[in-house]
Amino acid sequence: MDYQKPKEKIDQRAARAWRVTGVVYLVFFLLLTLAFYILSNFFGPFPRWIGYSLGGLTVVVGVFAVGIIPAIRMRYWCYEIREHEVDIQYGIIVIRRSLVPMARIQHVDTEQGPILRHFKLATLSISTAGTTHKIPALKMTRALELRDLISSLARVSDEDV
Amino acid sequence: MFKAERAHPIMIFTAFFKQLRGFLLPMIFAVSFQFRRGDGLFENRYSLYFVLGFLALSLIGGFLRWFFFTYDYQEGVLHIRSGIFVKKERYIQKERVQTVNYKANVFYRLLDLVTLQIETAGGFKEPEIDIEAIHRSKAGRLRDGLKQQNNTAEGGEGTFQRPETAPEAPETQNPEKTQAYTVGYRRLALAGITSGGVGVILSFIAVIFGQTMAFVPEDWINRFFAVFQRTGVTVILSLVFFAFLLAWLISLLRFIIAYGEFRIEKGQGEILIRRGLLEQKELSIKTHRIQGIRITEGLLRQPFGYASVQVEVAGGASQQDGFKTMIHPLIHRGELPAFLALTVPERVYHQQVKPLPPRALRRYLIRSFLPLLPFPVAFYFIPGNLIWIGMIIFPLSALFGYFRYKDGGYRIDDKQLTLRYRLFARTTVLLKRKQIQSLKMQTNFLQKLRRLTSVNATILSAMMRAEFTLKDLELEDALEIWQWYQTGKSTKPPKTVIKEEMQ
Repeated sequence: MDYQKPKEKIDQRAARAWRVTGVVYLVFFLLLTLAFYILSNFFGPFPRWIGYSLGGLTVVVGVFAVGIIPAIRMRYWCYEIREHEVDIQYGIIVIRRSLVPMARIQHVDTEQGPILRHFKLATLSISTAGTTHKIPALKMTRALELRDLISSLARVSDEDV
Repeated sequence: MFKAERAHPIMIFTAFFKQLRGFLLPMIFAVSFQFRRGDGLFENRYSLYFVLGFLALSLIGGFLRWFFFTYDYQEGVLHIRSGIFVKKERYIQKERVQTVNYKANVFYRLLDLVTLQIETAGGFKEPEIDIEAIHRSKAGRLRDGLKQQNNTAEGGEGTFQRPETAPEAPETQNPEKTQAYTVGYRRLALAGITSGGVGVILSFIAVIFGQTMAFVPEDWINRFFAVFQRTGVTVILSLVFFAFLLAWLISLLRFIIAYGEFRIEKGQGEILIRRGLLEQKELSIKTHRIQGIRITEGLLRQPFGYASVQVEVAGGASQQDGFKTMIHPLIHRGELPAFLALTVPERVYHQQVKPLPPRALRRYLIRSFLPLLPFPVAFYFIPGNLIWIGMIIFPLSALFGYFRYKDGGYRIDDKQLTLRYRLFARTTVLLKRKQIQSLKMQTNFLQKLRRLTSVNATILSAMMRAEFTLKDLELEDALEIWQWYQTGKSTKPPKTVIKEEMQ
């Protein structure tokens, strides 16, 4: 029975890109905590637990979103594009595996934000009539290659199911 | 073939009433406000003028709307002109027409008129056009004109939908000899009683009650409570009882009005549904646009073996039935196979599905207890003896958990996947492989330890998509579905599987 994981991995730089995203979140929470303490000084003491939970949240974001998760998340992401289907698996605690037949695929896009662009990565987004599936952080050339591959395969296997 | 025509003049009055209905609530508020102030009704002359003026304006507005609304149909193009000050012209090509439905309220039915509802493909802006109050025969001709050679038009629908099936398989029976299903009134009454609409009506009554309380003079309320103090609890209880009875009757009535004269028949490549006691609705659904069948056995219905059947239809901007279209309000399990064979061929219904493995039970029970977690905490903090609530709620959710487990299951029949699950009502969905947009397996680490997984299938529906999830399947079974979706073949013939399970 065919239950091997999909074979291909996303790009190694994904972890770094996600780490940078994590840093952005971290900075946001740091600023929030800072703002809280400054405002607390000027406008009378606010309840302390708010400050503690903000600080705690900042630490948690730092440890998880920057430290731990990116690398593991990257390791768990895999995909495979076969003649008749796209097979995607991801998730650490909850493992999600999706199967999208080529014949259902309506269009394929690549997208990238500033962080992904800096790392020369792109996210491939595969849409059927009702669902959208994403393969994040592929090497840009690879993403374009896959986009063309999928759209040609989707056209071919239009109605042989 | 058609010259530019106006609708029947009765449209003036329906437009008038429609406008009136929109302003009814503000007017009631205004009047009752005056009432409260102590002025008699219309004692203030201006308010009388205001109301009369408003009525006259609405009537004139209705007339103008009727006067400026014309339609004509020529060579595949429907041309509609409307608007009093801002003229609007719409040209609708018949290739873009997806469905043509009828609707007729009581007045229209007396005059043999209908409102024609035309739904077009794509174009999210005003996908629906109503032509009000035209004669049934004209509507019929218009509909036939718009629907001719629509089969060729299907391919041109653009990105939204591929032709899901090859053009309809040649009909085995003569189209003239099509069989129709009707639902008798005893059955409808049963459906209405078990529909569970009582809750909706009750909350509606509560809202109305709450709203009107604000306008009732205070001394009335005082007098009302004085009566209570004298008579005691029994009166209150019987009032509550009567409120329930009333709500039940209203929901029954609503159901019968909505689904009275229900009739469904199979046309060529489409099914035609007509329903409604007062306002009659006729809609046609193209068979190839049906994406899934949903069989719902409500809590009150399942014990008697009854279910309602709905279809999920792709595209189509709106359906009156809240996105799912009822194709049978109440059918007995035994009648289902024949009914489906007639209305939506290529779909099969079997009573038996492959059940979930026994080790899934624990997860199902835990899941149904999770929402109850706040309760013990609440018991602790809220004074008073609330333990009896717990005595009801906990066994009840255990029961639900058990039945959610027991009713869960799947079945593969050639090109069809059947999923059965329960939240409150037992739901069985029939999905064709070609119409499943994507399949998903979800496994969290606890499930992984016990070799269980959840399967989720997505199809198209009027609301973009509908997802169906069956939780905690045996991993091997989930893989069977996976492989079936991948290759079109399942490794194990399902019938023997079920036999094994039953022994």
